[in-house]
Amino acid sequence: MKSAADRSAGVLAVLAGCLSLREAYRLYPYHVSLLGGDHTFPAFIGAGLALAGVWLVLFPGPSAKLSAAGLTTPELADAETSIAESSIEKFIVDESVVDRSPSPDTQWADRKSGRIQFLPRQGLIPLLLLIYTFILPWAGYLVGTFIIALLLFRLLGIGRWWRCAVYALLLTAGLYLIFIEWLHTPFSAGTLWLHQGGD
Amino acid sequence: MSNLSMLLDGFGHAATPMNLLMAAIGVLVGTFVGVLPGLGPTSSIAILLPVTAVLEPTQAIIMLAGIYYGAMYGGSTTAILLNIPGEASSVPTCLDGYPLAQQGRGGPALGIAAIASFIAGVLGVLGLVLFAPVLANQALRFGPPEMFSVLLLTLVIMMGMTGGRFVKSAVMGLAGIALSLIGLGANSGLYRFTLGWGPLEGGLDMVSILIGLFSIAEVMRGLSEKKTAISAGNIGSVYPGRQDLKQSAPSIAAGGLIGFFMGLLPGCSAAVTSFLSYDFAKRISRRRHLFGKGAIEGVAAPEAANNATSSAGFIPLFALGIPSSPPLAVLLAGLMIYGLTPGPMLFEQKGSFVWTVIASMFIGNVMLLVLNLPLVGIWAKLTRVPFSILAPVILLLSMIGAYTVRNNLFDVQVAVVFGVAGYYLQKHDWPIMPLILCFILGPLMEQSFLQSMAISGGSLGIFVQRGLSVAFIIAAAAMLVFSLYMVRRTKKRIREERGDSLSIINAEA
Repeated sequence: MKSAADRSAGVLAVLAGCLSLREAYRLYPYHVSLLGGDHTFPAFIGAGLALAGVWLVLFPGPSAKLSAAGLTTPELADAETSIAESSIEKFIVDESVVDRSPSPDTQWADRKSGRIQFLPRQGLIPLLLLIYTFILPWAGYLVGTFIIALLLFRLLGIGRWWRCAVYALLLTAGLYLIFIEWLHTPFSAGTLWLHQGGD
Repeated sequence: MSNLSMLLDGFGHAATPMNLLMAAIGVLVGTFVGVLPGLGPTSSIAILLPVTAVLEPTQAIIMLAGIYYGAMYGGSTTAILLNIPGEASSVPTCLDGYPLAQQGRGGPALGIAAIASFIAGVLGVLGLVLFAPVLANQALRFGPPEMFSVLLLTLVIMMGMTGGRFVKSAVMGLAGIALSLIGLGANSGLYRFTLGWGPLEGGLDMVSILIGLFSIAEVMRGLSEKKTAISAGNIGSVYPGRQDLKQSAPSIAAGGLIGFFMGLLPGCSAAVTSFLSYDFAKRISRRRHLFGKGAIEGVAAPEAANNATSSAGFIPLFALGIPSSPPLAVLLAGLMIYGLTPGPMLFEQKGSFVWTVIASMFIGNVMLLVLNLPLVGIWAKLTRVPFSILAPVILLLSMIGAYTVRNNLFDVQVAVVFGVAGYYLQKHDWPIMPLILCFILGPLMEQSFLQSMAISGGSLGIFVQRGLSVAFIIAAAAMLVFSLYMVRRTKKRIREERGDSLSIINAEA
């Protein structure tokens, strides 16, 4: 699996290198000398990225050997999962001090999100954060931040909605005091409320 | 002598009530976030950078330096009490710190860690006082070719020190330079790498990238590692006895010196120096049979090295404008936000500022010791804060932090994109440090290269015709070999102690 990742990265590096070389070509007519001008560094970078990318495609990382040894994709996935599990165990070395029983805070997460569920959850975080950037001008700081905070607390494992709402309210108010009251950061008040005759 | 008088003058400026307050807040906040899971020194400084915007530049940098020191120290608490090395540099601290905690001597171990950090920190700052002005003075003689060679030296060593495959470091470094070139080209006046897309014309903001790569990616990684609240148990008195201090003294001295001199190398992470000093302390100790079972000097040596490395990094930062680690890269961003460009001219033009900040580092180290010893119990309790509460707080702070630098939502979106990229890069062992440092140093490197070309009429020979420049290029080659050896050694030691669960790559997040 890792070798595939290295190979994919290699292909991406080659593509990025080509893009950089294209920029160098576009800027070359404005040069001062062959090596003096805005094209020089894009040319160096492009060549370097393309060469490194080819190298990665031809000589991927060490786990390529696993793949070459005849392991199928599911077997490799199992192997990676077991490695990941052992890694987590190594982080939590002393079993006696580890609270293994699910806390009320994390019950929802444990019930809903087994190992397989983690990936969608991690994928949802950037999605929520991007949504936040789009709704902020429209809903304004207070409403936008409260909604996203509420969803984040819920997504990340606070069990009950009312508890999420309390935490979200406290966080929104705290950030409001620091960034808007104290630092005077100009956040949008929300166009939604402007259309309805609000501020 | 003049340095001493300027330092004393700096103490005069640093000892104002407001500056002292900023140092105290910085140290406390730094330790606080250092103890919390999910936040390392880099992400802490990146998130808090905009918060310091209301302060005077001196106060802001004093506070940020305090956060840096505090966060580095805070990591040792979880290492000693919970056997959780938040970063690779804390692994040696765990080896003896945790057995001491199990024996009910967690308090003295934390106390020695604080004292070792203090002594090494002061040693590091003394080195800064002695070496930084000399280096800056020499750097004033640098022309563009020498500057380019120094940057090349820096980047080559750093790529070797990341601990991953060199080709991956090279790709990341080149990508970092490419990202730094986005925006208006200085020579042609044309936009580069914008793909005709308006929002990119202003370039990418460094703080957004740092917040994405470190804070957001760290939260995503924290989820995949399923961070759990763990109880710390009884730690005993935090004040080490006379015997503890006597046993630790040689280790503190050795760790401090190793950490300082190795820390001068760009990209030399605290992981390398802390392991090296732990092994050295073991070799010189008469009680080497106790190492790994609860030898107090086994805590002192890596902690001293850790802090000395952090302090030594300020020398190339102030004297040459070259950050040697990601947290210092964020500090550099902070300095630039306040219109202060680190480098040889900083001592000439803003001498009062530099010496005030250096003096405040002494004060910050004293505060770290004075405030942390009585508060160790509280820090230990903080390790129990559930990640499910911390993560949304970190994420929203990151979002708003990215926004406040330029009041631009595009920067927030950039932070999110780099958060996702950072998560996958870390997952597949791609080093992030070359990307960051090359992003920061790329424009300077291009500028010095193009100036060299203008001087030489377009001939690359200029880099091998000037003595200093050649020396730097030869040093780059030699240091690359040395750094690869050091990294191989550190990786082997980490594998021996922790298996593959911790990577030297992307330490100090």
